[in-house]
Amino acid sequence: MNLGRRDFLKALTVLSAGSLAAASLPSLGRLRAPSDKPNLVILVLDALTARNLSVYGYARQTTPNLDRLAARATVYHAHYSAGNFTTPGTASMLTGLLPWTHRGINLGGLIHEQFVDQNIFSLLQDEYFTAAFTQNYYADILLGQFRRGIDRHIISSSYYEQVDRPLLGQYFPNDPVPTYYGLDDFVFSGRSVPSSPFFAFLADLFQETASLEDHPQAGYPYGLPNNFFYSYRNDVAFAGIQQEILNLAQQSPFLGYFHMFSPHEPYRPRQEFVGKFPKLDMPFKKPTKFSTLDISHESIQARRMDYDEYVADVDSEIGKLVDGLSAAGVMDNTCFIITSDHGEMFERGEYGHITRFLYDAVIHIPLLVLAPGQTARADVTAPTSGLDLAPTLLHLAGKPVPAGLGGRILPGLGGRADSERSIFTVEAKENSSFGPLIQGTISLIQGHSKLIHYMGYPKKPETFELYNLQDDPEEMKDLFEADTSTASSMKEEMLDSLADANRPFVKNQSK
Amino acid sequence: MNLRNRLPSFNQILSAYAVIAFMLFAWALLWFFWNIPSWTKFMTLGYLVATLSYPMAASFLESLTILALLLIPAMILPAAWFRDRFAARGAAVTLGLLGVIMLRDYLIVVDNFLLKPKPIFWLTLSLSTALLLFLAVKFQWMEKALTLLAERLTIFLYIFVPLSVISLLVILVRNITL
Ligand SMILES: [Zn+2]
Repeated sequence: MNLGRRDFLKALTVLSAGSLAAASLPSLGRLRAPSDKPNLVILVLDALTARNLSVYGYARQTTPNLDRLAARATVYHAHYSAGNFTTPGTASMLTGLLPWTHRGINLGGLIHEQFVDQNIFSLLQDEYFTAAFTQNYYADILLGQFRRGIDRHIISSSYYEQVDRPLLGQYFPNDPVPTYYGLDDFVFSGRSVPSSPFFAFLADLFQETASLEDHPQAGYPYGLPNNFFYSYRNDVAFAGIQQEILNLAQQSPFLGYFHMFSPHEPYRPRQEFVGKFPKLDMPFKKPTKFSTLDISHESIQARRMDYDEYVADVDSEIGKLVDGLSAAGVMDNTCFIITSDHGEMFERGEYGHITRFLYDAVIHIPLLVLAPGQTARADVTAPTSGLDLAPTLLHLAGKPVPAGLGGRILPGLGGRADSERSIFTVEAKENSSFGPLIQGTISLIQGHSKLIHYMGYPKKPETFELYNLQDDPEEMKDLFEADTSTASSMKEEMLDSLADANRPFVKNQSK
Repeated sequence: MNLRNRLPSFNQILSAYAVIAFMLFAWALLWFFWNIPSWTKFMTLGYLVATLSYPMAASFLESLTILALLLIPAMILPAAWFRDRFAARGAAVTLGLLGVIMLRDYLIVVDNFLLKPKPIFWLTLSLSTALLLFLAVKFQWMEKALTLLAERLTIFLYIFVPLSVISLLVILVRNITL
């Protein structure tokens, strides 16, 4: 393992030196001499499911740019998020811990205090300049928790076109969590009742936000993209982070985390992507046992179309960003990681990702890694987890992976492929983060087998489902009763792991 | 011009302020407690107190803003119109304006958009405020009732003012660079 790591780092150095000599000397002239450690950039596209990307075989050509970039990347074909919405998915990526350990399980929740200094920023800060930006406020709360490890925290409302309400949290950088809940999401709240009715009334008077939000803007037939706090344009936001990365490259090595809100709902593609795709025949009338909604198949298909068009829009921005960085020579010494915090589903009477479900659409996410100087494509089919990002970054930086960090070094980047390892995803938003998990959904993937457990839902039975992802990728045929040996061994492992995770909180409760 | 002479008496200002503060603090606290079940799932007590201190400080500033806005007409208009009856008429304006804004905000949350269209909102806002003012001017019992209400509400200032001061201190301490 150690030898592999050294070999890889040596290869990185050789490769970056090679490309230095080749093409991009003039543009690199203004950058600092490359350090022996690669820069690390993580680009997260929120709610980007692997299932709707042509780079993963989707029938619509949604990602021509990722298809193109894949030719010089390592493509992970069975990469899974550890949660099904932003908070657990992002927290697990950044800490290398499962949601039932870091406890960022609630909508907009927090991770427990003992883990706030165990994150990719803090773990790399001694040797890397660390920078982070997200347009997703739930992810920004986590960045707020990690602020000791972040040298440059770019405020969430950078690159906006128009705010929906005054955003005051940015003026209290030392107190990001209470100012998010107490000010930005409360005093002028656009989502529930403003706690300051008169201030909100005054803000309304002076801000004609509806004009941007609800009416089609030039080039945006469904209105501008919006993150529930402000409207933005993807071209502006992506150009903004491109400039950020170019600036960061002056102080290499750097770690940059860029978490874009798109293609999160509301799906608002630019005009040129609207009507781009043919109708898709999606005949799957899938079981909807635990659905909380019951949206018609037709309207779900319409949402899928909007989403696919929006994904194509975002894909074009990713292409421009990587091309721009390549032209500036930054990619020559940068490991560029493209992934998501969770997926998005359009099936079983639901769309989106605020769901009890853990079917593949909502947890199977893309992962493409463009290593410095990589010229050929590599494919990894063994299952991998969002947790793996943290140990992999440490490994790429030539640092030891501390005990207690979950996840593994990604195969292809120094780790070994293990097709039988256990990959967990946890949906537990209804539980207190200070107590044992008693209601939620857990999935366990081992090889091609996937076990899903629904537990503690009011008026619903305790249920297990087992699918074979190779023979039945749409998860239509439940094998739990049929394949008893796989079912019982996976069930035992899942319940044991859950009991382990719950143990400290069960003790807490009985005290 | 002597500014002090143009201001209503201290007791009148205090009474009118009590109505403003009561409405704003009660409203903010109500929605804070409404959020408590979801926030306590992941917030420690320390975070919860800090989170409350921001809207409390905002409500404090908001109440002073409204009071200041009411004092302007009291100083400009003939004394008999507003200044000398500041508690009752200030209370009437506050109840009319804030009441309709709060009603609209509440209705939107329960998916009732009756007051959302701007023309309907502005019409309701101005008619309600005008009606309350008219009643307070026209009927002595109404003026008395409003004055009495405002005086009774001053007792709550013993809660709201210290709460504001503590909130401002909490904010100050939490934001001093460590
Ligand atoms: Zn997300």
